[in-house]
Amino acid sequence: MSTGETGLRQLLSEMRSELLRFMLARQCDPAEVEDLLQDLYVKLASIRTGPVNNPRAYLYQMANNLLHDHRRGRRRQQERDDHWTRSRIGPDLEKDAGPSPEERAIARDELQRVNEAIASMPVRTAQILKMYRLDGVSQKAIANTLDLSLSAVEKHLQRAYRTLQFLREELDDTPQLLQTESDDASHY
Amino acid sequence: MPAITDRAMVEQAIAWHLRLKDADENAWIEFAEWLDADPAHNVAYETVTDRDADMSTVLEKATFPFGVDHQPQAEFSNDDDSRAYDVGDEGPSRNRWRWGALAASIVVAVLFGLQMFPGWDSTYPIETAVGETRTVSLADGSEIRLNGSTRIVLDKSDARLVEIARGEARFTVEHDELDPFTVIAGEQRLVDIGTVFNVVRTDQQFRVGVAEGAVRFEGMARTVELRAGDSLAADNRGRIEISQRPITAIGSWADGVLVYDQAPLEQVADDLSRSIGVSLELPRRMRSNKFSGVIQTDGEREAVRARLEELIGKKIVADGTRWSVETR
Repeated sequence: MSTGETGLRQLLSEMRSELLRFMLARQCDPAEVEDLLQDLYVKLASIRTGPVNNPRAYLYQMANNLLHDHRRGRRRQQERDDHWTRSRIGPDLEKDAGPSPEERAIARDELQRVNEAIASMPVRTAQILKMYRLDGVSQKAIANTLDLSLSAVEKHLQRAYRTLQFLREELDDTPQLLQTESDDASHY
Repeated sequence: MPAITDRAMVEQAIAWHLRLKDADENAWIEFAEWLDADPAHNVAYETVTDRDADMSTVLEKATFPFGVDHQPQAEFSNDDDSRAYDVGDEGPSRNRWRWGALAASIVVAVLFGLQMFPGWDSTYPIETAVGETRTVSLADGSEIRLNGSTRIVLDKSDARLVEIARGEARFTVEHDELDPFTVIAGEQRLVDIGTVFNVVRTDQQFRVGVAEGAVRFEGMARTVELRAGDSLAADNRGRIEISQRPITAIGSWADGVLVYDQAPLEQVADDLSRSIGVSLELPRRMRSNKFSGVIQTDGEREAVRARLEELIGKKIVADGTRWSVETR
């Protein structure tokens, strides 16, 4: 199968209904789904891709990323709006660019908590987490490099991710002045 | 962020998040089915991806246990059930002891190797033992297959730059003319023009063979463009020699085949040490003898020895992993 850009655009037309179903399963707003598919088409036309190994999976991946970006973009916009509201109400909250002492303290605390979490993992689990999450090594390559089975690598990663997920949840739940305010603001 | 109380659902969402990074079409379809089963699934999945994304900055600064190659805990790692099929395979660890002397010489090489990128914190090495091969996938989709006794240094901040410190590797590179893939070997550089190529670096020599596409060799004295089928050998003094080889023979060690056409026997000994971990001792006068033939390395060592005897017409005495050609 031709996997150049033209090939991918053609494949996108063929896969239109499958991708539409997928995006709806991902809880995409039905009123926006057509526009997002159009964005996908435009995106394919504007990027250079090398040869793509698995073009159908590639398009699913692109659609999924687009949904993430779309949702995060909205979230950021919401945060900006909240910030604007807040600074109108209390101009003294508007700070110079750069983290405040309080934000720096929070960041330091976060780093310490993350370091503790990593230190509590089995060494092998931490190594695999680093290779996968930071060095971008694929699970398959990790399995080859460390002479493990793929399912062993999956298990290490699942465990590491679980630890980090729960830590993130804890960190996010820690009451912080700004966090509380922006939550309130979003109710207006 | 919504609180998710169903832990099983969180576990599933994590598993999907991990699996989708390198998923085939079927996985995506299964994922959609999972999402359809319960609207809360999508919420769980998005929460997991958001929390993961929110960890990126702090993870970049986090402290990880050093070293990728320390494998002492391999014997009691947690992959019990999944490795059940190779229980009792004590080959690798036993061999590690036997090759202690070789390992010691590798350590020396490593110490020198580290100085190649002084103070570059973003670099990290990947190394193979003799007789061991590994595949490294890079973020850009390129792939490096390492032969035994090989050390490369990758750069976390630049996935398109690789240093080969020692040994042999076959590169399958995603071409990008705006950001060419570069392999550094001492003062010499290879810049891909799109492509599959094989690289060998020893103390005396640097060799490259192009199996597909083209590569630009930037040596100490000259720059040469190599096309598929071209092989180049450069010595320490910057002298280079270019020859033609069948494309299928280039990097064919990765498929367990060594192909020679008028190669010095010394090189054969070198390749065998990397691929199957034997050291072949050659009488001085035989070292530069020209050798032609095909050796299969993916079977028993004994078969390799017999084949080699046949090809060079001499008897080879094996003492463990030390082989020597009988001189009579």
